Amino acid sequence: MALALQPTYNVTITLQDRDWNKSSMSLHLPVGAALATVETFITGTLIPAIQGITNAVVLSWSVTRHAIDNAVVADAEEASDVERKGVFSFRAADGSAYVVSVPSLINDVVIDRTNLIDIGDALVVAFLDAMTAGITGALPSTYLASDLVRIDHARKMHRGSRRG
Amino acid sequence: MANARTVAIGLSFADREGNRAKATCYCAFALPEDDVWSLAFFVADKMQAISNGVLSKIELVWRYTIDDPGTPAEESDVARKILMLMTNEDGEVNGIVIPSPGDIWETTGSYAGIRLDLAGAGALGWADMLLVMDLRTEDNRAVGTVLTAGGLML
Repeated sequence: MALALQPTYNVTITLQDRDWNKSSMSLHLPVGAALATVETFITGTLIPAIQGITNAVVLSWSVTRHAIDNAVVADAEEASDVERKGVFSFRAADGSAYVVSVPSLINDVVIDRTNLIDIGDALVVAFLDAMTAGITGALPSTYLASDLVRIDHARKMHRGSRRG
Repeated sequence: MANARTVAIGLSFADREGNRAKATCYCAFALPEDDVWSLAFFVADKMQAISNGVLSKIELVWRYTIDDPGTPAEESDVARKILMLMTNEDGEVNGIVIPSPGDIWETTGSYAGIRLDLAGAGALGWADMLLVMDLRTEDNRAVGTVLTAGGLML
């Protein structure tokens, strides 16, 4: 991987008017500032400055940072197809289900004559361990912050993708 | 202000034909950014091992909501927008668009109603904000610390 961390945070602010129509504005902040500093600037300075210009109201905002490699497409295998997905359904600690789809699943991890993923395959085990055990101090979770505890089932499926 | 319970980690893969698809994971919001990146690269590495697409982007998103946003003005309309123009030290002019401009216009002259009153409270507040944080462009150039003009986008 030759992903390059982008040097800016992308801040997107969503506003709403009287008719509940929404629109967003965006700007970029330097990464040199810590995220906590960015948060303080947005809430204490930027949003008040925006409200001084607009008569809509600020509903929400987000901070995004990217690591990108735009030259990578040429390196993809001829047989790659992001619409062929490995769909993994995990069970979380709160009992909820969480699904993550791995694009362009390799056929080597699919059991022949089925659409089932071999969850005993070493590469699949490594992925499952990453999702349920994470790394020291950081653990994947559901959207509502419940830790993933086990895999329930894993299948190869075909699903649409954003066109390149 | 309230933040989401988790940080969203988007892992985008591309295939040979340039199609792209994203797998999304989440982790605790309180984690330091460096730890989130470490987890993101770790999971991405394990996903890459079972994919013959190629990882093209990792995206981290922290989301926040305003607890009590208040009531928009009766005349508010996000379809109307103002373009704020700032000048940086290199003389470059950069713009930021803000939806639903309020009562911030010049009231006399040829541009009454469509040009930002630079002496008004709104413009002065924006100008002050430019001095607090170094806003950047998408390609990491300085947006500028001088509010040059603002105008209604038609």
